[in-house]
Amino acid sequence: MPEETYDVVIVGGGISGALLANKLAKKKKKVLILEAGLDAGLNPSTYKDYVDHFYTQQAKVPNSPYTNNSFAPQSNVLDIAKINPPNPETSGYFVQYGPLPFASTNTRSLGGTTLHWLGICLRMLPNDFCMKSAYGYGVDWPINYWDLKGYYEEAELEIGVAADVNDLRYPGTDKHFFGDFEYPKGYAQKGKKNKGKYLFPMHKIPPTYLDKYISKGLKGMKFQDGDDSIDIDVVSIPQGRNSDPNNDYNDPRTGYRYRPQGAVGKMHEGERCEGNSNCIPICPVQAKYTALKTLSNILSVKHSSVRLQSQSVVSKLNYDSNGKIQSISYKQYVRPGDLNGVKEKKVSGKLYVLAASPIENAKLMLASRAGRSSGQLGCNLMDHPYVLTWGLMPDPVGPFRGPFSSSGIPSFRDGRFRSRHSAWRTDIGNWGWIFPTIAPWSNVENRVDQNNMFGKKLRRTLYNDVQPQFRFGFLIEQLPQSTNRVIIDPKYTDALGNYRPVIYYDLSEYEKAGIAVAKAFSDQVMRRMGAADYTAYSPADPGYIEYQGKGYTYHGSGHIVGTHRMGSSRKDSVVNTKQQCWDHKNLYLIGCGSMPTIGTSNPTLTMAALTLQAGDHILKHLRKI
Amino acid sequence: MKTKDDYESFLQLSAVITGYQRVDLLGTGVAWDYFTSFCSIVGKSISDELWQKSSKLLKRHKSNEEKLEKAIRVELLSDNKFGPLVRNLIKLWYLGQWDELPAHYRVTYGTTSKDVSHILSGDSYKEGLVWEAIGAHPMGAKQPGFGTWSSPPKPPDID
Amino acid sequence: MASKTKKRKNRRPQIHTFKSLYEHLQWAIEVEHFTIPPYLCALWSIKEGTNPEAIEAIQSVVMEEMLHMTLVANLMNAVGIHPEIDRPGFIPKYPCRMPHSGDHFKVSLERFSKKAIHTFMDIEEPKKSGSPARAHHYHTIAQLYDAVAEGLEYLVCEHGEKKVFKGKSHCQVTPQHYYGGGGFVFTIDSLEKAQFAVREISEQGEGKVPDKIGTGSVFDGDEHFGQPPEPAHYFRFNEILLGQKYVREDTPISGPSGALFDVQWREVHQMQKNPKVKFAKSIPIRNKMNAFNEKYTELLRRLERAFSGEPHLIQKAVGQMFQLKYQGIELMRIPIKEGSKTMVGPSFEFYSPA
Repeated sequence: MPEETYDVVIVGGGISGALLANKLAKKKKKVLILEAGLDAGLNPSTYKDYVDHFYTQQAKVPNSPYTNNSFAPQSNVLDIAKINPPNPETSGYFVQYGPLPFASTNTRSLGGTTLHWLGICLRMLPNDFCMKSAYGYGVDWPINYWDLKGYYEEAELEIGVAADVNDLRYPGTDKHFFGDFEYPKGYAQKGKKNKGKYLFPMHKIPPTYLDKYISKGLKGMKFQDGDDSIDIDVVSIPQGRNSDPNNDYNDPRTGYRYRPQGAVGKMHEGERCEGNSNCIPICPVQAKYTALKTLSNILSVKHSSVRLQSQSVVSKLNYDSNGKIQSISYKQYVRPGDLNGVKEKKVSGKLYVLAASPIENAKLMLASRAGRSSGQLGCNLMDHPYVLTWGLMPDPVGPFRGPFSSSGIPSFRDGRFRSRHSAWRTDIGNWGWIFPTIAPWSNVENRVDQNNMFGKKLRRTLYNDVQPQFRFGFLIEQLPQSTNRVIIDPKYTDALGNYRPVIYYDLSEYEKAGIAVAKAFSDQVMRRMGAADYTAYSPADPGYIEYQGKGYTYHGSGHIVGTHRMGSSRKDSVVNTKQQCWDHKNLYLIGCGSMPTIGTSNPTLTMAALTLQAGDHILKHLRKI
Repeated sequence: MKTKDDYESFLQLSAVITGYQRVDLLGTGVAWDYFTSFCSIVGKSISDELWQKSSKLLKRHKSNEEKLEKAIRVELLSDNKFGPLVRNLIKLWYLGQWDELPAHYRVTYGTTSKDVSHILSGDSYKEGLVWEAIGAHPMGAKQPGFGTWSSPPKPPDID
Repeated sequence: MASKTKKRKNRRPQIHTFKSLYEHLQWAIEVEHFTIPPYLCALWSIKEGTNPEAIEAIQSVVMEEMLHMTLVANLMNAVGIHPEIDRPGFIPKYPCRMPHSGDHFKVSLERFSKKAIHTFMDIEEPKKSGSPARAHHYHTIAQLYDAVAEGLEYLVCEHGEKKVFKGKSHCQVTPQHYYGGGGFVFTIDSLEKAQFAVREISEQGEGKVPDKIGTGSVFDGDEHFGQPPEPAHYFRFNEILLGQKYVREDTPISGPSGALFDVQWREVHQMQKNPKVKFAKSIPIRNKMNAFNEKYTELLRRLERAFSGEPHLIQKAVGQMFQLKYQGIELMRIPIKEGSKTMVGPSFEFYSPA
């Protein structure tokens, strides 16, 4: 027997679930959020536990602060290994058939992957929504940029994005890209309205010294890609990270000017980035947005209409012969790993929303034998294969200070070359060689163990070793492929008896060609800057690939996209433009899983915009019931 | 009293091998913790030997830095027994972490069950000298403040 | 307000000349600064990872004192003068009484303790009803500001607003220059804004001016700034002493009734009381203390420039403040001599290169 009835039952307490619940809470809808993981981080002391745990972890990988929970297991980059088909690689949570490893990870704890995200908040470009008609690859979205523009603005407010419009230049866009304010429209608001030219709630995060150094060095640079001459431009990156508030921005939620939201449960922390240089895996002062902030706002209201229930892992959707979801089955545990006290429960609502990661959403649908009529469920898994190049600048450039990346090169985000190879975004990595070589740890070990240095000479040498370090990252647009997919297999289950995701993944020639051009671009930049190139790819790397006789290594970007794509027909998509499941009218699948293509922007902001749009549809739907 | 002398030898040896002053090392707040952890990881008899030997070298070359450094290289760092320990001590100070001693060392000289790679504590991570040495701050701690990353780097004052 | 103004016209207030106003404003900035080193010593002496509530409370007070310093500087610039900060006499020689006050207690640079918190409460004590301001000696900070407010009103009445607020607007620190929590800074160019600033400073310090002690509000007037109100400084310190938070309904008589928390009074670096460079037991320690003082003096120099026509420089002071903290904490861990359990601590002395 279902225990209680809600207006909406949301599965997953990450950013999508949080933003949706926030929207529903404003209309006093009765909402239940089921979170598979623990609800740690919601108060200063458990958040501090995360930070303290991070300090003592030797491998400071994205999930290092967030202990794995065998009842809501998560992948870890340390588990990414070479695959030897036809045998799967099973050492981590993902069962990987490959042939190449899916290299991204997510976090299964309250707040989801925003706990360890970087905080980059880029909008997709207009052409990203029509790849098929513009360039002949991928698919077109059933909606376009202009449908989402107002929701991007809403998302930028809810997350709290720092950027200056005048600084942002992207290929294939004009002054209408940001244009005038569209949000909020329709309903009444307090205080002064935002009118006219769009503004971000906060000014941009100041660029790093390295950004300025590279920007100066690349001024006027052009890159020849086939017949196209591409102007190279270094541009700051909008970030979900607290900066100086924009005093001309009126917050429609309060009627006051915008006030950055700092640490959950603390009045004087994190209202501005303090340069902890630790956005990934965890911002100690919570200047970076996490879904915990939104969740805390919702839950701290007296008589909140939203209930959060953590340690509740959904295992199945139950539906009737018309496809209408009747209830959700979940397993509630008392302590991670302790099967005593695990209770199987059911809950009902008027509407159901799956807001977990695309991989978990797909897995749950497959386990429920739901949403399968298009044959696309679980398919089109995407990431931004992330290719690194690294070197030493001729001068000290001040790495390991400030955010991971505050500027990038957007020049290859759009252009005619997309009919030949992947587009990509270049980020300028501000933390030296930490990603490719685990600097500065490796520098110390090398100088002490191999070079027999000690004392003042060691000190001086380390400064000279590390100061010129810089790194580029190329986030390669991956096309949707039905063969890149998540399936389930009764052979592979977790400690609670739920399915583990079984993943098939590969890179296409289109992406490999993009990687090769990106590397050629990097070569030219290094020559222009007079930098010593130390990039090295090894066939032993899990993400090693070859293209036209040359080797490259990719990593994951943590951008898990696809698996329940949105479309205009139930024949080739899992959800419609409202992110409502074609096969189950009272079920919505939201988040990055609904994106038909990935573009070159980090997907969180687009996911947030899509979620807010779905929220309006869900409110309308509730009014009709 | 002996412990106090050993601790002093430990501090002085640490100052020479790290390139930091004794007062800098005390300022980290983890010196005593490193001393006791080091002794308990490598075992009392071998650490006692190390402090004795260090104390002798430090006294002998008190007024000549160059000679002292040479003696430390010849008699400690290139010594089969002490070399791996002193290198580990340098890395402990710079990274706040203990690296498991090399297998051949463990076989020849033995260690304790505590000789496993690990970060000693949250504080030891935050006080790693490497961060100051490279002109930065420990990632996730001792944050330099909003916008400081825009300024050019400043080399630390070593002498 | 109107009736009050009328009443005041009948008598000459304490401050009735420009000279006296300027002098009082310089005192005000000295008073605001006076509390910062003792608060920082208590704050930095708390061992890392312990006493999160006490750290948050003291830190928030320090941030507000910095905001107050900035607001006073804006007020000074509004009336056409600059504060004098970068000089030896600006830094108090602890232990000492609060400058320009009639206080009988001395304030020390000392570690976090019940005694230190009692002293802080004495500093921030709410005004007792009916105690008027007296020449050169003000029983409480609020009295000093009352005198300033009355003086401004009087001078505006006598000379007109334009003659009083004759400062250059580009000297003002704006929210664009200063954003550090503790509330928003704002520019001052009129009597109204000046009165607002004065009220803001008083209320954050001591709470909404009560008619009688014990019946007023515990909370400050921060809602003006679109930020949630907090207990005034006096009451925030009292929370530490009692290990319990105030809630909105509480009054000074009722005491706090909110969440309880532990205060670990022993988790403290044993900093010596009122350290002085000249008593340093060794050269390396003296150098470390000097390095701290040099940084501190540099910071004051930068602030003086920021408050004297270069307000953008205040942004650069952010990094210096963080560095100062790390150097201060380092001094908390260095024994005064070999084997001692007493630690050096920061001395906050004016540094002039030898």
